Amino acid sequence: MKGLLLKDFLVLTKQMKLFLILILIMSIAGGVSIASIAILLGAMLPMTAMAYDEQSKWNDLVVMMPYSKKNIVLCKYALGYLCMAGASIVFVVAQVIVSAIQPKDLSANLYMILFAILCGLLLIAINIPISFKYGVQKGRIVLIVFIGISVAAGSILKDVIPEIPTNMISMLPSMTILAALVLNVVSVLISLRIKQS
Amino acid sequence: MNAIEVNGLRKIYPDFTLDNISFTLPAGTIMGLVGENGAGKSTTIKLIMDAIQPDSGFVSVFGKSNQTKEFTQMKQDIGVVLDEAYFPEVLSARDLNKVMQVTYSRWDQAVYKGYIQRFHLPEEKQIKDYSRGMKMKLAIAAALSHHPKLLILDEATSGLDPMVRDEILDVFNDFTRDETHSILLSSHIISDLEKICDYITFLHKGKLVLSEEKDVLLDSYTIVKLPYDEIQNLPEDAVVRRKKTGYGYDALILKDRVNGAFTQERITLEDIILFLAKEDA
Repeated sequence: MKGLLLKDFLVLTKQMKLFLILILIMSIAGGVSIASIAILLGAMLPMTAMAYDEQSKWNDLVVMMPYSKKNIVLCKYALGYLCMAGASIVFVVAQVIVSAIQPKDLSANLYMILFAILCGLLLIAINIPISFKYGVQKGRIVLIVFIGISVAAGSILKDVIPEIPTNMISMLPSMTILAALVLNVVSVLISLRIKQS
Repeated sequence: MNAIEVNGLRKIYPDFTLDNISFTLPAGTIMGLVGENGAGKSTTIKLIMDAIQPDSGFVSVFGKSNQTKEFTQMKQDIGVVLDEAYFPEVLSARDLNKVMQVTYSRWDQAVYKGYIQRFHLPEEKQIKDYSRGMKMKLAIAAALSHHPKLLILDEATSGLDPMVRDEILDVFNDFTRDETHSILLSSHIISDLEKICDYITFLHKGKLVLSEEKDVLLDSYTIVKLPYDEIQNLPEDAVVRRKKTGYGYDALILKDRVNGAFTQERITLEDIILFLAKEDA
């Protein structure tokens, strides 16, 4: 899988140098909301890499190389996780350095970053299997339809679903993290099935 | 030991069926996979490499089924070149070296750089700025630099000018100097296959027409040209195909079924394939 990741990083750095520098600057100097956007952009990079794969017909060649379909699928998830982690680490390190000079409470910013990471995980979990199934171009349309249906369903169901009891609100962050992780595991399994069929 | 064994392979698509394909590529030999565009050559290669799943039949490579988990590792011994390079176009030959180094356990930088120099490929230039011939040479360099025992080439010489094709065929000939090395080479340029192949497998409209040693084919068939009224003089079981021309008939016949009374033309592999691909006229 190392070779596949290296290929993706080389392609992304050559093709999107400015974009990656922008993510880096946003993570360091843009404040927490801009850094959150940088993390979400990081979560979108696997789809960009998949679009370049489609463009060069790399997918026809990679199945002839000593990579299992599992490796090919996992590489795209790993790419998303690494890009998000990269943006998050850059932001946190920058914040720690800044707070050393000018002391301030970082906990609110860290919660915000955690929230951005969870959104990124959700994006990866939904986007990658759709892109494997329909290709990146068609996948974008499918994703928009999917989000549209989810938002519509949410606004209809919000009156039906009972409110979360106050004693459970404290458990919400850990439950959201768990849900994001489970969703990613399920997403990997779906992608594997798509790739193997 | 056989490099490849294909047995009863079938793949059904809505508009095309690859039907009951069987052939064997003995180790140390070169097989040409010939057929018109859409005959099923690329589908067969994808099935051999386990890129797609067959509906029935089986494939073994170096004596082991390609459906086993070990097959992914066995691909370390196989070099593949497709009809285009299919490398990300923003990469350079130098970048490709880095990627292949962590892909193939026996990747040999010195061999790769040797081919890059031999083919006069600029190392720093992005692949998108290469000509088609240069891209194919790069693909061949990459396929040969991890010491494969088997080369699978799918239309790797198509669309190249005769000089580049000749240069590439020389590389393939060098590769088979080692008697454990084998090549499966698909092409619709039959003259290329005639130059270097030991075996010919001919697919037509998804079906296997023949899989035979090239020399046996060339020894078995011949062409006779006869006026319209003399065609019936040929023994019926000798005529494989016949074609009406302005002067009479050209017939592809089995040499051993006729005596020397018929003037026999010198035959090429292309003649045999073209005759077999056509219906009687």
